[in-house]
Amino acid sequence: MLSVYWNLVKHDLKYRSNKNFNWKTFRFWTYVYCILFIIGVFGVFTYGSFHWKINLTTIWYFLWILPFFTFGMAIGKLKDEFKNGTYGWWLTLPYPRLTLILAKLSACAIQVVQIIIGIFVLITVLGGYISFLSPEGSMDRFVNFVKVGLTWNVIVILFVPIMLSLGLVVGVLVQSSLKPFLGFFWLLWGLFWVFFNVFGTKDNFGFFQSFFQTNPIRLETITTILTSWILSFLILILMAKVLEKYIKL
Amino acid sequence: MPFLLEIQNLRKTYKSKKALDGVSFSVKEKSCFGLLGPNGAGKSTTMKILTGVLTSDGGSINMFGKDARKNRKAILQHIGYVPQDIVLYEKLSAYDNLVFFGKCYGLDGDVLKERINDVLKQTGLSDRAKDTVKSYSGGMKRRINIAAALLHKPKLLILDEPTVGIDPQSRNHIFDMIRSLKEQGTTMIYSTHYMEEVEALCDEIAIIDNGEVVTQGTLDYLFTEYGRKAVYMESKTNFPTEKLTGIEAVHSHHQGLIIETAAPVDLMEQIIHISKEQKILLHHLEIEKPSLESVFLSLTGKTLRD
Repeated sequence: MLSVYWNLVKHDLKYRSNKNFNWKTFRFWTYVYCILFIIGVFGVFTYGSFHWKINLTTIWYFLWILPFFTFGMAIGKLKDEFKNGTYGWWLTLPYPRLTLILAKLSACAIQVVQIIIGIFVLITVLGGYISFLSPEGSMDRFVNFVKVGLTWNVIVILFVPIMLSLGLVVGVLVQSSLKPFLGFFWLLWGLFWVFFNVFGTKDNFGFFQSFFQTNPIRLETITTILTSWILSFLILILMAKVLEKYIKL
Repeated sequence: MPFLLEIQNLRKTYKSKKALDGVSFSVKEKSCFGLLGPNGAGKSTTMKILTGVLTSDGGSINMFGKDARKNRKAILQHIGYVPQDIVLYEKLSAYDNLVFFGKCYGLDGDVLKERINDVLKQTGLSDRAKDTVKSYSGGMKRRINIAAALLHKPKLLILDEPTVGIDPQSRNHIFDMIRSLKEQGTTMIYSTHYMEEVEALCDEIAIIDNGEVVTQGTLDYLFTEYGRKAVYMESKTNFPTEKLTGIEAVHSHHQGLIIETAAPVDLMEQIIHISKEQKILLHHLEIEKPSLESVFLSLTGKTLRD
């Protein structure tokens, strides 16, 4: 059973399933944009190191993009199976739906963690570069920068399951007769972000801002992460049921 | 022969449309069972329910002596499914596709290698196994798709319109494969809207229309019970059909007439007699061979191609 599960995970990691998509061109342009982006970022920060005062830790705000990226990735992973016409076979595999979607999300999670580690290394190099160039730079400042980054990266990784599960909700509902509930989901999604960003919990900051601007390692964080994991699992079970009972083909 | 599959009163509704309205049929072990019906009749929905892709709204499925609802996982391990759309990963070679599909069914190592070689031989594609699927013709892809469904030696092979859009060579190869599988004792359900295929391959047939099985039986049974009994004739001059007795209907067909009757031999005798009497030259006279088309027409009032 475990070997079958890993076979499915490896397959999702290794092979792009969308046969109509030109991955060669996509990869080429991805590399081009990444290189341009890196050159641009290093260029701006080289100039900035000499002319501006840079608060190093704010560079980690870049991590904000990752939960949304993770969310989109989960939608895409499921969508590919339907777009490629392989869902008919995929759903006939003699395993529970929960196993099938869990394999997909595991593949997503591995890819996301790889990306997060890549970004961490890149931003750390950038931080080191700025510390080296800036007159205010010091080893202590750089070490603190890495510590903050490491903490935030780990926290983002720990929130990956809930973002994947929420992406799965969209991916599954779109293919089911419960599609009308998607509007309700987006409404909740919007309210969730508004609530945590607009209504502050401390010093007039929104929850997420205060979260990143104060020490994130606290009971509140651990409780939130644990709750998110439980919620993720419940969502997975629910979506497995939807995929079983309400799939629209 | 015991039944491998028994379906009772299967129902499925999409929004307000009844896709299956009480479908019932049974499939004998080691037989090739044809599910014949026009597009939209409910064949694919039935297949999808049998393979666990969809759940039914009601009714029961008993497969391998077990309730399919309660034993989904155990049952699916003994089913090979060839869906209507080709399900292969185009960028992989046929061999790598088969490795992936085999592993999904728990095969590994030497057993998997052996099975892959076996199914490649069965499909006649051993020499192209290392080529990417992208370079295959539609028929070759279909054959590999069948090979993938056979890897785990299923007790029941379900084929959903496997010859749609493929070349005659691959079609013949698929037919040979099905015949050979039948000889080996594999039970098959073959869904199609091509009557010739059902006639050539299947031992028993269920005709499905508007989400209902209108009849089920062997070809002989269907022809005897529902087949049109008729005589086909062609003559140089107009034939006085009004002089014939015991006829049920007359239709123009090609250059001649199809005359329906309950007693075709008597009718032929009458035609020969009148022809001699009125010196009418007959070009063609034969008892019409019963066809599934006529069975379908007599049961549903429409042709399969409508």
